[in-house]
Amino acid sequence: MSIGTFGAFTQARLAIYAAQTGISVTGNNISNINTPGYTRQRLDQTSLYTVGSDRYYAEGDVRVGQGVLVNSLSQIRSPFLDIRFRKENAAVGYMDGLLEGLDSIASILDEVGKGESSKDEEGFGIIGMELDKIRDALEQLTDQTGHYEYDNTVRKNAEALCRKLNTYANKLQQVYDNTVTQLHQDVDDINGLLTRIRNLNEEIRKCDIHGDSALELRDERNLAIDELSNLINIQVDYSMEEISYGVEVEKLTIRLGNSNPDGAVETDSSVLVDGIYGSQLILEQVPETRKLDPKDTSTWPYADANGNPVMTEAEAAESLVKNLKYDPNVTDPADERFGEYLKEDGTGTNNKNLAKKEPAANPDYKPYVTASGQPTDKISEARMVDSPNYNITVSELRDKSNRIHYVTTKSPEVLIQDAAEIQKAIDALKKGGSITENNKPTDGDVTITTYRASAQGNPKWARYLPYLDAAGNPVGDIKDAATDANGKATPNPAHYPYLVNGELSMTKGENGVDNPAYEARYLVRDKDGNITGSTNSVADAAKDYYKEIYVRTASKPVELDDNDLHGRIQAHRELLTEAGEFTDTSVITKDGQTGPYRNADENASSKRGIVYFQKSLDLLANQFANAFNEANQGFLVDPEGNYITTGVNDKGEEIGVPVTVVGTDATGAEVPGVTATLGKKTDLKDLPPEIVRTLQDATGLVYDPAKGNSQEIIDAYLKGQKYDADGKPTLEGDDLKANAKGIFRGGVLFSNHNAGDDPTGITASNISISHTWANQDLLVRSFECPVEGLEPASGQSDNILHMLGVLGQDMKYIPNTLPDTAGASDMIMFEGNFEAMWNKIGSTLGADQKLTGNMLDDHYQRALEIDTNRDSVSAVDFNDEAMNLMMYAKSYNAACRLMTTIDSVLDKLVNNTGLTT
Amino acid sequence: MIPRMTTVGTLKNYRYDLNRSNNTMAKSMNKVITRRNFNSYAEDPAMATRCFQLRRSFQRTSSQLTVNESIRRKYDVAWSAMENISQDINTIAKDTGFTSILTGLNDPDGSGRNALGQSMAAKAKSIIQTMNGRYGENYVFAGADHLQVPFTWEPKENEGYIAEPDPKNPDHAAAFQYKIAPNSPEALAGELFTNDPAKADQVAQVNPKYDEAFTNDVLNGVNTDPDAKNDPRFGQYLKPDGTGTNDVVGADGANIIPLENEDYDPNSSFKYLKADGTGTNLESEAHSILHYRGVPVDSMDETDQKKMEYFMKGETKYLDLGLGFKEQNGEAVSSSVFDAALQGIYYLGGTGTEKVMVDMKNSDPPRQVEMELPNNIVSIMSRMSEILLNCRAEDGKWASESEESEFFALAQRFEDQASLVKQRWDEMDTESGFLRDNSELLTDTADSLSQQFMALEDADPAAAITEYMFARYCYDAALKVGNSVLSQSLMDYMNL
Repeated sequence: MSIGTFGAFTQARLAIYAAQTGISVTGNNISNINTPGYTRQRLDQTSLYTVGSDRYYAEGDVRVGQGVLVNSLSQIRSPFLDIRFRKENAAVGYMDGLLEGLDSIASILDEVGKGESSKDEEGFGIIGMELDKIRDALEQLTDQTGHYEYDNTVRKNAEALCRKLNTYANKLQQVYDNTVTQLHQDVDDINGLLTRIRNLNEEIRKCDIHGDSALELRDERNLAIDELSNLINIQVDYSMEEISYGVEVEKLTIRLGNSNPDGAVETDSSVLVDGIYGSQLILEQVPETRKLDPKDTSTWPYADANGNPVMTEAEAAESLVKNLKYDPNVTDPADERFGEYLKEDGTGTNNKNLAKKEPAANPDYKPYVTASGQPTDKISEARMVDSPNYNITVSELRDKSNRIHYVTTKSPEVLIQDAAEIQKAIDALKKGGSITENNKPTDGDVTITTYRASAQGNPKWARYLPYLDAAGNPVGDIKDAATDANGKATPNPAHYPYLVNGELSMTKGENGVDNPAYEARYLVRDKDGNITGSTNSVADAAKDYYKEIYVRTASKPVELDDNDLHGRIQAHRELLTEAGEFTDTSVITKDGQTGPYRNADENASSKRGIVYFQKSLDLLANQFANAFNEANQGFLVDPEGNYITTGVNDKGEEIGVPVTVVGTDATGAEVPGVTATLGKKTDLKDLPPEIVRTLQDATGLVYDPAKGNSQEIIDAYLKGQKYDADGKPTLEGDDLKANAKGIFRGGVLFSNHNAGDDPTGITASNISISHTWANQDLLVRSFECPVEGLEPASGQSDNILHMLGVLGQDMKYIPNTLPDTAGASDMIMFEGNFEAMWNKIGSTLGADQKLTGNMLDDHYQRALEIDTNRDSVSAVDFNDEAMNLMMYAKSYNAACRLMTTIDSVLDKLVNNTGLTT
Repeated sequence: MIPRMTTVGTLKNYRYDLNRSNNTMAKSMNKVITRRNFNSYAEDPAMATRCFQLRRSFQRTSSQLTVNESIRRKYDVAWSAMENISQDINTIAKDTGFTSILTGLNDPDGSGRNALGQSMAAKAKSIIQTMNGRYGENYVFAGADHLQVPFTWEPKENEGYIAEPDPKNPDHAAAFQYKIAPNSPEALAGELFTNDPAKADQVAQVNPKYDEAFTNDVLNGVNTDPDAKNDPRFGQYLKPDGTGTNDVVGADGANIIPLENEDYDPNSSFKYLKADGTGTNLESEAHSILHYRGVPVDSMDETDQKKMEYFMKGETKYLDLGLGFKEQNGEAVSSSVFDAALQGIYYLGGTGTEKVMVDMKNSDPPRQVEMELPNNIVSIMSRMSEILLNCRAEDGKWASESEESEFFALAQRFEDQASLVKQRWDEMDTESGFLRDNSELLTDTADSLSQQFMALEDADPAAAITEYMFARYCYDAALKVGNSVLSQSLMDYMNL
């Protein structure tokens, strides 16, 4: 084939068109050099060549291409670099989020270089300085004991420390609250991006179907995916989706990026976007519950045998679990309405002995809080709040129209053999042959069972086997057949439907009769299933029934494990949930537990978020308050360390005399001659049993050497307190004073509120100097009185010195000693004095910050490197584009020149050829 | 293959590098401005922790130094007081009158002894005033009871004083002169004693010189002396005319008088006792007894001794002066603290008395009697002054042989205890010296700690400024690079 006369023009025209398009593409690249996410585009062009052969062969016919074709525009991207970048970007997001949180905490707790404006205090920190000031005030007080102004200095410094701790705790709470807001924002951002990507998928899909490459939409989608990868670790897959027979379009799937270090967990690969379906992240909401309040019985969950509220399960009476569906008229034990009570296996019973037992519930228990802050027992009325562990659920996949995503699975067709099933199949076939049922209405799963009936084939049917071999088996090839003496092949009687004159025959003819040995194609059975013959009629034949099951499984919400996420959102979650050593170990250390760990991180002990620092500060405040409260209370002693009480000397003057205990026998009668004095070093194990009996009877407490409650009993005796069988004090006020055996001095210095003297549950946020201390001089300078004295010497300061000792003493900080960390570890997390503990909090934070900062830097550099690599593939470069401009411009010029040449040639051919002069 | 460096990639890298350069410069600038090597835990957690530890030690040492200085000054005051006391004691010891008495060379006349007694009494009072001195608002020598004046002169209390006599109380017998008349309305009301003679039981006046044998001889006529009945030995009772009789009643009978209470003590109505043992209710007239923190210093009463023992050996006022204060079972380990309780009684020679065998002066044959001499130098001086003041004014004669002997024994004891006081002053000097040394040590420690944390925290200005200048230079260079990073490309050379 040769090109037509004017075909060369087309060639030039295509060249001009290609060059012009190339210039446009280059122009577009240059224009978008600053467009975020823009991927440089390339013009795909091919040489136009007509395939085929001429009708007649012509020697010397040279095939020449017919120009250039512009096929398409394509992007230059590297999926591998995208994957690497997104993985790294998640790590950057995680570290960045974490560092941001740690920096916020450090702005409160990091006291390096901080201090008051005065020169002497600059650089000494704030809380650290307050601890120093208390110590200094105590030092001065040991010297100037008895002068009120020095006591007052200690108190004022203690008050300042409390206020600073309160401020720090409040600021930490603000950081916590802000991080909660950030977490909500993260979830909203992720959900927005997931929706955007899903919608872009749909648009790109449409474009794909119509043959449009939709490059700009892909750029937008890539940008959104990059953004998403900073918030959450993802895995992006591209696959082809068949939309009709032989027609496929690209499908994008985004999954969680398999972040969970626990290999057994699969939820960390949950699908977020599947083509045109997308999911959303949901922050789990739970009813807001009230804390157990010893002063409010409506917060006590259990009841005792008398129906009175109690706080713990151990105190609760047992009650039988009632059957809520109980119907007295039902007598069938299999019926769920049978029986007034439920057994362990969940079935009903009327036998109370067999009934399942549970702790009796407090009928007035109101565990929830309504939206208006009122207590309620109805969960439906409760205010919903974020779950304590900020658990996240991935919702089901839905498309733009909110239709749920189904996955259809087909099981292989099976022969039905069960009689009831066969009947079901027969019934179904009468109604069209398939049954659709919703297996689990809540999940939206759909099961479609399709039935098919098939005539039962006759195994003896010998359509293609007209002979018998020597063994009598049917065979098709005459060569295999047995022969008689005449060399005639032995016929298979089942093969021939007729007998004509006794001979087997394929046709009936005039004399033919049916061959009784003939076997038709299908079997015929009677109603009992016995074979009664064979037939070639499908309608008359016995049937085999088959079924094929299609299950359309609806996409379901997935409750994520604590460690399933990564990226910025997980950083914010961990800031809110990670409590390090304060983590409730019961959630994560059950024997044999391998996960999932939905409500705590199994690696929590090495991770520290805001909660850790809040609890550390609480522990410091709590330990500080307890140590000083303990140091400031006690009973007066004489120089030999014996507890004293008021006596009278010969002159009738009141003097201090040792507390003496007289022993008693089992009847309560005093045993003459068995006496003992109680002192600071007295241990009940060293005293005669008669004395111990007196102390036990007086206090209501039982001495247990294993428990080591000797001092507790002695204190109770000296205080005059008597406890009832439940261990509750029975005396108070003047009755208690009247019954006191020793002389009590001091009181609580620190309390949980400045309006009272309650030393329980002290944390950094509530620590205050006690109401009593705020209003009077309460510091006990000494418990030791001179001989016969009833008051310590006016300048005696051994207890102030002891307080100094307490300040410098190495304390054991145990995480589970705080009021709300009972489930935490009982291991010592730190041992040191208060200042060392305060430094430990700061240095732990600093080390975490430094490590996180370094890792962020590391990840960021790596991400930048990968991004630069991506840019080296996908970004626009001026030199490249300049080259392209020149190339396309030259091409354009050349094409124009080609056209001029062809024009000139044709002009010669048309206008000047054949002319003679 | 050479990586394709794109315009976008170049810009992105440049932006990051410029930011880092700026960040480095900001850090250097911060170091210059704050003059600190680090401004957060995160910059150097280990170093920050170390610095805070050093700062805490510095603060602690500073507090200890403050207390040490306070105690050192208290000891200075105490030392000066002891110096004064020593001078007072020396003045007495070298007093001409005193030495004359002791040497017997020039026994002064009465006025001299009395004057010496007055001088000695005044010195004793002066010593006590000195010992009651204060440093700041605290009594220096009050042990751990520094808000209470340690030494007091208390009037000698009458232990038999009955404030509100109760005639029904057998323990109050000493307050009543007479025993109540039996069957009287008062006796029936339960009263046992009375001071009203009219209500008293009436009895015959007993002849204190009654001699039963003599009287029987007269009554039996064995003794025929007509004046025998006027003999004081005659008669069991006394008649109103003072002669004896055995008749209780009758015209010539015995003198009927109220029944005296043999337990009656006329001093029982007095709160205090004078120096001569008689009673008085006036504090000013009463004999002054030296008390230390409410306990008579010379008392040998077991409880008083126990109290004094506690003051001197048991009571402490421990202070943390940087001696490595630590506690064991909640109590300070004594070797790790300083006991700042200065017990005045200790520095004056102690408490109680000591039994001494004293040679009686002018006794022939020579004999010794046991006397209780006080340990406390002020008590010694007081007693000596009493004895001297008891000397007869006209000729200075000793009031008694016993007092003379006691004086000489006291004078010997005075010398011994003066030496002891001096010795205890020396002890104090040692402790003062320790406090001075400790003060220097604490000052040095504080300086050293201060230097240590400053060395760790404070940036070396030269290094910091050099570092900043270099960072600045780098940043400027980076800016210049930025100016040309996109300046040239093929675009600029295209000429189509």
